[in-house]
Amino acid sequence: MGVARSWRTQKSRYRLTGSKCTKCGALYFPINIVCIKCTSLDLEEFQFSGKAKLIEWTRVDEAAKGFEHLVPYYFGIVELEEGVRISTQIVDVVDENILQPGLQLQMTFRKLGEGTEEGIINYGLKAEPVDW
Amino acid sequence: MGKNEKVAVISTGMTEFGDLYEYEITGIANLAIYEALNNLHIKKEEIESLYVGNMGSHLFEGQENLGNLIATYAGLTCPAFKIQAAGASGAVALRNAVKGIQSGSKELVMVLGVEKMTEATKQHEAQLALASGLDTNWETRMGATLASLFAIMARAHMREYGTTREQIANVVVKNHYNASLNPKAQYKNRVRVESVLRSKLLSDPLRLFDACALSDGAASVVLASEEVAYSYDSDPVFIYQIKQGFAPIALHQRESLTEFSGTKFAAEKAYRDMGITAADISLAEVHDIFSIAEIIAIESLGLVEKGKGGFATENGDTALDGSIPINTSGGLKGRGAPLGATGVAQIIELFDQIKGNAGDRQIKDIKYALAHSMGGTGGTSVVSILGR
Repeated sequence: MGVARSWRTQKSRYRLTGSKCTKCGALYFPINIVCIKCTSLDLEEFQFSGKAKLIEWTRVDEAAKGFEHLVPYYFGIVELEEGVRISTQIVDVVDENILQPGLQLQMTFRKLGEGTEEGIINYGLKAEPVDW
Repeated sequence: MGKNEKVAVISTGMTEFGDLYEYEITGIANLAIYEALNNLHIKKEEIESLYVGNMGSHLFEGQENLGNLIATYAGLTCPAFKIQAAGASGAVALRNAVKGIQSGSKELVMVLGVEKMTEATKQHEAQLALASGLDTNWETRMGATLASLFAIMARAHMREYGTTREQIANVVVKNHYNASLNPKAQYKNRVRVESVLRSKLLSDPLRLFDACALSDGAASVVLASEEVAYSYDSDPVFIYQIKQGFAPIALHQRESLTEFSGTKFAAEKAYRDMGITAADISLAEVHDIFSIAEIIAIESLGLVEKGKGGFATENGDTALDGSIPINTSGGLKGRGAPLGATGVAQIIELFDQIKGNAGDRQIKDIKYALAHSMGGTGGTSVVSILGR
């Protein structure tokens, strides 16, 4: 990821900041500048709580570039408590059997991948099981 | 010309799919282009437009401006351009070519689907090129691979409908069998369920044999208006419908993990506009980029009941002698998956089937034949219906 791109996506990637439409209340992650539901351009930043539940998952044995050192790692789709879904890694899984749809998760700040060609180490959010 | 005007496929050309090291991308393009032209003695000057479907020439080879490049080396001077829609590039190019003829502004055009993937010598180059069809910021950079997203769909399907790992493997077994009867297929070897289940794990539960391999290949079709078609062929094959359906690019943005909603939309619209139902389809070529994709595709197309795709495959319903043969060519899995070429190659298989030229793979009594191509994990879907 380039320097500018990393900077542009930082707020959403580091802090789970999204957008809320001030007209119709629709929520977006990542930050969006237009409401695709009501076409309003009047959006404000919205802070998601970081509480989430598991929708579905897989264990990745053949990694994407930059994630080789994590293999095998858990990757899934989670639904934030505010109703928006995201793709994320699931960390601190002590027992694979706990990974059932509906499992309560909390987003946590982690290193996302190894340094890019520009020397940036990417950080971001991953999900960890609550109460395990 | 009215908007429902049917467009004919009058000639086809296709390379073998596989490791075509000895040819440049312009070389494999020329093999397909000139086979299609020479079959019917069509002069290259008669082609009014060249639509090139290609997913990743920039990432695989560092080459763009592909329309101009291929036209130059083919000696074509008509307008030429590339259309990119990930794995659906060839099918989207085809759809735009059909629209070009339906508009009445063109009578004879060529669609070329082409991809040269084996130049990517490092595994990661190829994987990055394939993953470029995903949402790179919010899927790939979070750790997603193409396999991981289809693995999530597979798990959801197994959980929701009781689909088994063996049923999913049966897609691979069937498609390899069909490919073994296809002289142009990349993988003519037959495989067993056990070989699929013993292959290297990519993303649980999907394994290496559930995935398509890198491949080079080109496929081209010459399309003509109905009037012009009859001057070449007294009994032409027509594209009756070609519809494109949408779903959000990222899997997590979709309502269902076990349905291709864009595919469903395109298929239902095609059946409705034509006044037919899925029961009128005699065979289909679908986008089996991963084994599980074929199961979800045939359900979304309405060819089997929702949730029954795995069972139908296991029962042999989708085999050559089954009630609804799927991927008689071997599919992306067996015939090969040079991505941009796949959507056009599907049309060639259906053309050969309808013409009765499919050899050992021939399906009898074909009413209508359907092609289904997808980009990414199902964000773009194209559904075509062909017949006499």
